[in-house]
Amino acid sequence: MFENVIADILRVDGVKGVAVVSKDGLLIEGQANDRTIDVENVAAMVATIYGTSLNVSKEVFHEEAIDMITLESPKGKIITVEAGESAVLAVLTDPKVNLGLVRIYLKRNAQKVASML
Amino acid sequence: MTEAKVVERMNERSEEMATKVNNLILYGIYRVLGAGARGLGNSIGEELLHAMMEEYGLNFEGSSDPQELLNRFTEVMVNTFGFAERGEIDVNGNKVTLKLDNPMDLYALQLLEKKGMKPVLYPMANAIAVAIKKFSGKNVLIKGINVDEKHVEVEMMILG
Repeated sequence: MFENVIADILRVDGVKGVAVVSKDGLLIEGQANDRTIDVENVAAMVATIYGTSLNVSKEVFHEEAIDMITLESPKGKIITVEAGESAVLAVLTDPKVNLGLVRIYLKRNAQKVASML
Repeated sequence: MTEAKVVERMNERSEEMATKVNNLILYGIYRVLGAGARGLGNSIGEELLHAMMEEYGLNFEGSSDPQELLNRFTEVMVNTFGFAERGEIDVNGNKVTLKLDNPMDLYALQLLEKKGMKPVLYPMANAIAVAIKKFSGKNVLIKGINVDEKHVEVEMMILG
């Protein structure tokens, strides 16, 4: 269903994985090149981080909306954006990925996912 | 009151208390995580479905029809699990609707509504979503949870 979305984002240099995740924590579709990652488990965590961040935004900024969530570790990043009212789109990248480029690809593809759900 | 009656009443009260405590735990999770609680839904649904299959006799063997599969789910949920007074699951194309009368978690959901929090997680619906994925390979999204005085209605959508 989302093969094209996933393939498009994986074209970006430094992107190691992509997942379309329902806000209920269900992995709808995803691909990661590191086989040690339990993608289904990470999907649930990503959905929880996204939802909890929304709650933080609501408490602090009085605004229940988020453009993007970036988790930065010395070994990589996980970037998550909303993809419509029922899903989020998340990517796993190298630490030195071109964030601007990833952002463009994510936003573009999040709209595609949103239109399909 | 006979000793047997006292024990029976104590057991009933323990069950009531356990239900109330569980509802308050759910409420506490919502209060801190807000919409983040929603992300827990699939994992909770997996565990609930597992318990219903392993401990409460839910069996999907010999059925590939989604409506039949969900009728069995409802039977175990209501008659064996005792989760609600009455339950109904309708499949209409890619839309699935779960309707429950007086479910056990109604208190928690009403408490949330009173505090102005929108319910985003419904374990029974999450278990249904996991069952559909497990037995038909299709993903299910929970689109809405509606609560009134005595009922809960959950709207779901089957993808693909």
